[in-house]
Amino acid sequence: MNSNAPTFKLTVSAVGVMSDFAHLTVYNGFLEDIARGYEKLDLNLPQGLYSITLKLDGNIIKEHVRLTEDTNYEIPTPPVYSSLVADRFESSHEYYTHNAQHCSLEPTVQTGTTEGGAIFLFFRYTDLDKRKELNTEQHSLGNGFSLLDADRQVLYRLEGDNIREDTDTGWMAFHAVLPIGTYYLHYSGHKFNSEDGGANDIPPREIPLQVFKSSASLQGLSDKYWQTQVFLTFGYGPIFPSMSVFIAPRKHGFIDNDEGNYRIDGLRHKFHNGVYYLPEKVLLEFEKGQWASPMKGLLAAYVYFSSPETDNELLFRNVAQDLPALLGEDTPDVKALQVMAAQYYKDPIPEVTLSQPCMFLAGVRAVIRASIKHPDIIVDDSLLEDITDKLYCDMVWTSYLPEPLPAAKKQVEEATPGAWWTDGIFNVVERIIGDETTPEEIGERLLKSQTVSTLLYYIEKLNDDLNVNDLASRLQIPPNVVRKTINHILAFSDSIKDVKSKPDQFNISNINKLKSIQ
Amino acid sequence: MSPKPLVSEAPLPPTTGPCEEVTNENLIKGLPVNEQDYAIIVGVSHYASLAQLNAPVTDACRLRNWLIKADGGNLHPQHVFFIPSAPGSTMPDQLAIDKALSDIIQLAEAKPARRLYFYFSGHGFGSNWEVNGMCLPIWSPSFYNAALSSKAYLDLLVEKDLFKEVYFFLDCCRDRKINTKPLHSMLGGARPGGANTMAVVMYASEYENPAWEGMMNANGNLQVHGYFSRALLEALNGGAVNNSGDITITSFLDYVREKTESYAKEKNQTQTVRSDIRNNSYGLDYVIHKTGRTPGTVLTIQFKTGGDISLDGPDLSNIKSGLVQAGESWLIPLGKGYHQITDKISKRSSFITIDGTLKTMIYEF
Repeated sequence: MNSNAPTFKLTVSAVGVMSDFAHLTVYNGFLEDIARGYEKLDLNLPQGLYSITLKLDGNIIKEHVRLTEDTNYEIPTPPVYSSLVADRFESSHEYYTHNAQHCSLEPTVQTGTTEGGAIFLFFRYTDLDKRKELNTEQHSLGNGFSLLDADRQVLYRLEGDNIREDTDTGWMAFHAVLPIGTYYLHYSGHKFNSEDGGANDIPPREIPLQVFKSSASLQGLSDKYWQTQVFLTFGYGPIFPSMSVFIAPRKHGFIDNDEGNYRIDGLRHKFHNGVYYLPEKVLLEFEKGQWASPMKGLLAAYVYFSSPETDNELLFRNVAQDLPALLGEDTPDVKALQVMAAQYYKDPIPEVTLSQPCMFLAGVRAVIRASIKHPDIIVDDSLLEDITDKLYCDMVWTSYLPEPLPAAKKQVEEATPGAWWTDGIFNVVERIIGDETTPEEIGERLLKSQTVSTLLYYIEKLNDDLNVNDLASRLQIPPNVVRKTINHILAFSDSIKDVKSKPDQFNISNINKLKSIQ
Repeated sequence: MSPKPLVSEAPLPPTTGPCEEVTNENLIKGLPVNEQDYAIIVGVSHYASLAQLNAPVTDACRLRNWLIKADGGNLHPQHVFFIPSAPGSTMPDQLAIDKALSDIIQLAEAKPARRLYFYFSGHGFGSNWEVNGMCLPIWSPSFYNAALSSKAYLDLLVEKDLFKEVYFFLDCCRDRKINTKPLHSMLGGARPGGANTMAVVMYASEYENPAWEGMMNANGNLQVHGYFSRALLEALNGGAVNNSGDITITSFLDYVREKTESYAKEKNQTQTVRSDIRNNSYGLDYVIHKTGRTPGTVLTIQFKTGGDISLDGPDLSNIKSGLVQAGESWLIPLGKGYHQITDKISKRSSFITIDGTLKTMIYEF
């Protein structure tokens, strides 16, 4: 390249929806990557041929530029699809947006109180055509869903008068005013045949949802109650990884052109893909102490503490300190973030205990990691402890394979024998022993538990240094859960000690190894 | 810390197996080889319950051969642990791979080590965005966790602090499988935890996305390759060379990313390479391979219509210009880079990309 060549300004910008999250790369004429960043790049470059690549949401746009003068090059962002029915998303349609707005302002169930926060759920297809293609019989999108209270008792099933829906265009809304606390969105699962005729199964799942404490003490906010808003897209069934969650002032309900919601959705999407990126505009909001959106704060803090970057340390120390006052110090996510912040700053783990899962999976995983050295951080025999070996890891939100609903338990067990207990070791063993089945069958069924079978695999293959903490680290579950699992395996093994034929994994060598680390 | 002795229950597959024999000519000539470099190359095409793949063993062979060749990785052949699957076998199992790793660790503990290449091609799944399951041949719905955890193996290699550089290449799908716990290495346990090793990690696709293989034409040879593996080999064979004849971290990542995307696009598929770099104190211009060659292609431009043509190079210097008639052609050697061809009469213009992988290329204008 001629070093005397004239230089020119090349400004490259992504324009349009989610431009904050559009990643730009500029290559020079020799195919060398010379600049990269998000949204906008200002460069001074010699005349020449260049190429620009924009990546957003799985889309790749490539453009060539011949630079012979100062050039401002704008690349429109590609259409973005999201569960959020926001104004500028390609997948939003008036027949969804309008109804989401309306239902977010009017509860669909009467709870006897108008004071409190709220949970608003909005389920829909990507569009009417998809509904016609995938749900010809116009089944309700609420089928199989229930909202549970903190004790996992059913508050509402998403059916009948509890919901508003249009099965033609394919949407469903649920809205309840509720006291602050943890709730669970329970889904009982669904079997279907896909386009190719193959049998498919969407397994049961439960998702903790938080109604956050009122924010009366905070200035600059127009309403003292928060509404937790959940948007979910359906294909053949619910597409859980698409789930978007927002926290908005209850009286505002859902606002379809809220600029902050695009950023939250973009942050979530990047976070889902392991990209720990915080746009300048988000950081600026925090620097100015603008806390209009607690979800943005939660998400940004989770993103920041997941990242190895050390910029903005002070800022996020402040964010971590502000969150308890804003959302309540007993909130699981606030506690989990305190643990995560301590891990990030290499500070001592705070003396907190959790019995319920937080909304963000990163928080649950941080708490499980902390439990290796601080087992008391997870309350013994709590729901949180029980779900640690049943976590789904396919979205940023915490979700897990749940126990059947109390009222529906018997019915469900009869309908799907064995299917529910593949992962729940505690209930599994207790339920299985005493059944009129052979030890082989019991053993095989027990081995269907991923935790049990993987634990026994490690026990068989590892010879030295067997200890609970190492196994906990390998299995990504708390040491207490490892201990309890071992105890249950030993109890089962003891009950079949006189049986001649039993699964290989329950051999004397393995059992002795388990006893040695008990 | 000395590694735990490991003995695989089944014998390791032969060192070369389905690969053609290659030798490192430097060894024969008594010239230096990269004695401090090691590699574990795993190619699994054959599965007990999953669909057979066509590319993994072939692609693994090609990488193994590049590593051994004097003008490639220049490794001692005994430092390259090649672990292919075979028809009708459920090998390799985890112990076969851990045994190779254990042997390498023992060698690296005996004398200073520079570099470790770890390559896996086969079926895979995304357990979560940072954990990929590398499926072993025995994987099935009943052996749901019979897959190695990419993160656990990478963490082990980085935290051992035995190597200055680790290159971790995974050509496998990252489709989501829920509630999976891929296996950690049996070599786990207490770790020194220095974590100064630089790790360059490349996943063939983004989390939740598949990695594809397909029939590809490379210089007239039709063969099935993984798009990512093909791009990887092309990059190492000179495609990623910069104009100084070096392959740097940046030029390598850029090339593999760009070519993988373009191979997928040719087949109307999408595949985006994901890379992560840990503990890089050398900078992105760190040279990972010197070739001493500057890349270029002899381009034949065939003109479908006549015009007043100008061909400009990457810095806009004019390479050739003149009037042409329909049916005429130009034969021009071009260096790696973007070039622009313009018909000054019709103002029609196109960009031509020379990536340096092809010796000759035909372009119609």
